Amino acid sequence: MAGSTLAHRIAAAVRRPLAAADAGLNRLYGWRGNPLYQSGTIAVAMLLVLIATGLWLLLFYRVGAPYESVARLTGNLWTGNWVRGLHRYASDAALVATAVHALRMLLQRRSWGPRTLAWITGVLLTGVMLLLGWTGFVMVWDDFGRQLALEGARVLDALPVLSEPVSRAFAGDRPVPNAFFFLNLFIHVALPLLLGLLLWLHVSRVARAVLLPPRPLLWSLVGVLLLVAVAWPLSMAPAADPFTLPASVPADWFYAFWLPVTRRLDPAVVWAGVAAGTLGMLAVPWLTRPGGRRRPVPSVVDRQLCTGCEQCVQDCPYDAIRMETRSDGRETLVARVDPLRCVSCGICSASCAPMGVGPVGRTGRDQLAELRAAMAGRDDWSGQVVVFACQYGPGTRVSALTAEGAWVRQVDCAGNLHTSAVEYAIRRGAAGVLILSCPPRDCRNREGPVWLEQRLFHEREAELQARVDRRRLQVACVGGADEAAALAALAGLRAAVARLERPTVEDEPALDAVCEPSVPAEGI
Amino acid sequence: MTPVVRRAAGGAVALGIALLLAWLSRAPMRVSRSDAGIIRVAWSARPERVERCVTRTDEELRDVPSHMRQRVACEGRSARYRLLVRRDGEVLADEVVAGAGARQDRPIYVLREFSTQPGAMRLEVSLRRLDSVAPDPGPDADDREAGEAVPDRERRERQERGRRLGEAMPPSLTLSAEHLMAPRSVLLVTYDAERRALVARSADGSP
Repeated sequence: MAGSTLAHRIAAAVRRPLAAADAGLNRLYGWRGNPLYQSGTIAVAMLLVLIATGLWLLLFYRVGAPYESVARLTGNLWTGNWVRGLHRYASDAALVATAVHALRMLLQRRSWGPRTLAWITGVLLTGVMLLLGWTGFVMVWDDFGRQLALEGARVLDALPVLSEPVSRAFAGDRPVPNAFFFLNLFIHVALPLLLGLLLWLHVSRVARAVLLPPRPLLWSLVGVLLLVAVAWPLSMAPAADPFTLPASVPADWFYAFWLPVTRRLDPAVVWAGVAAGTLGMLAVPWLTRPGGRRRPVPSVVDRQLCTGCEQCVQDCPYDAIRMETRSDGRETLVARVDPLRCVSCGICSASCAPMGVGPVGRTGRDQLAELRAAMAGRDDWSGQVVVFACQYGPGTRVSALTAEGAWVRQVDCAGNLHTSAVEYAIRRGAAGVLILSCPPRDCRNREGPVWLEQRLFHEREAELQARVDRRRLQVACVGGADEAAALAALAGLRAAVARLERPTVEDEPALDAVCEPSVPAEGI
Repeated sequence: MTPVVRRAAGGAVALGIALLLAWLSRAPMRVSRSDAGIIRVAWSARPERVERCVTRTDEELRDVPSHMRQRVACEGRSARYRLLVRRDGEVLADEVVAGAGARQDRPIYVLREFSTQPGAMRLEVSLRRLDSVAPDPGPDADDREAGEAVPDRERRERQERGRRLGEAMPPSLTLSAEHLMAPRSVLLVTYDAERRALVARSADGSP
């Protein structure tokens, strides 16, 4: 229990600066261009840059003269140096983006249950990237490459596998064999294939995986890295020399952060540390899994209400819903949720017009019932703005919104909000409805804000009915720490509805009655 | 914040982060805190063999598959050696080295490093065989025993045994050298297979 509390405190402490960074970058670039929201896709984009530049560099690399061939390439400012610089910086950016991506997934509690495969393949991807970096820097065979090779060999020699210590190859009594550089090159070229396979597995459990950032962000990133590569050209470190001990070497700290630490440790301790770290990272899905009642439950389908429209299948961001034939004689298909793939995002709750699917207690009907009960104690809602806010993002700013006079309802996800709830609030007399969603690329359920916007304004099932006055409705994408933006959106809607006529008030709009089941609901 | 200011600030932040990334990709990393150098003792060489050889008769050879018909069959292990490293009389290493591998039938791989302060020093390295090895019967011993023309295969066997014997380290190796150790330099002591002797090398080529 104490450990769990400590873990939550640490998570909260890390979450605060991250949320502040999100808010700051949102102000600078807008949420569409915020690189923190695109960390995963940036990593993939940088890998593509690495492949493109790497293929070019490969043309000039010579196994028999590694340092000389790289030096010749680096000396060519027009066709070599900037490509090598871009290759280097893209590899660093890919690693940074990967680390940010992993941290976000961890802090957003998106690392367990059906996301276990994504987490584990992500850990493996990171390991492969580090290995790729190691082989890449060794290829150059300068002082830094030699230090990496020596340390890798020292640690490897602790394993009772090879009869001749690998370190012997770098002792200086004979030239480093070409076979070493050939093997190193082979690994450096072959590992991206493994990377591709792991990436495919990484996204295999999500529907409509987004692999690249928006083009403006993508080209801006490449452009900035290219600018730095040209303006601050890479230079060659001294060639690896087994007869000198350099005081310091120019090092890539992203890929060699571990070197100053491991050099002081016994190889057995290094292996133990690597094993413990890897196992710890692989165990995160089980360590972060909520226990007991806090664990979200998967969606269920009310077979009586299901019309077989397949909208929930189309909307599910995790491909967790399939259609199957009915056993009750009706001609339509019926939806079935795979609990092993369902992350309990509740997006299906809002996709179902008859409100027959969703996690227990969070279906459209449940939302309506809860809202009806909450609004029942008050007759006059005129002038009142109702705010539906995602509890993980802008919903954390309830007190500030309430202080401004808003009536705030937290929802699990904006994409979870059924349009009937919005209609109910307006028909009960609310002056306006403000929906505060997370920015789309920061939605922990991937597609919540996108589907919400389409349901409200573009007639996606279950669409907001035409009879609802859209002038009283506003959606704002706001980051969790961006209180000012949330309050600005509230003020904007207030100003807009103030110019409108007084809304028509209905005592008890029966929005769910039209789809009441003819027989008691049967859950599966 | 006006859009122009926001764009300028966004560009500056992006450039700043990229420059930080570029600097961290080449920032110096300290790898040696002192001026100390290293004496590196490193080589790989085949040791002599401690083995018992049996000359098999024609009847015995007939009982084994044709590809295994080896006239002289030897079993044994590699000899062990005592490695002694002294710097100005101080013993840096005194240990037994043996062939690598689970059966110790691989070459002896030596790799030892000793940190040492810059300056003049006297280095002594010796390697002496600990096990006794049976003397080589000589290239014509089998011929004399057989008293007949030697088949080609058996001649090749003898040549192979002779080659292995020639490649093996001598029973005793010694190196004694004065050396002026430069700061952060490496003095390598290795086995020169052609000269069948221990030699010292450094960056400037001097022992």
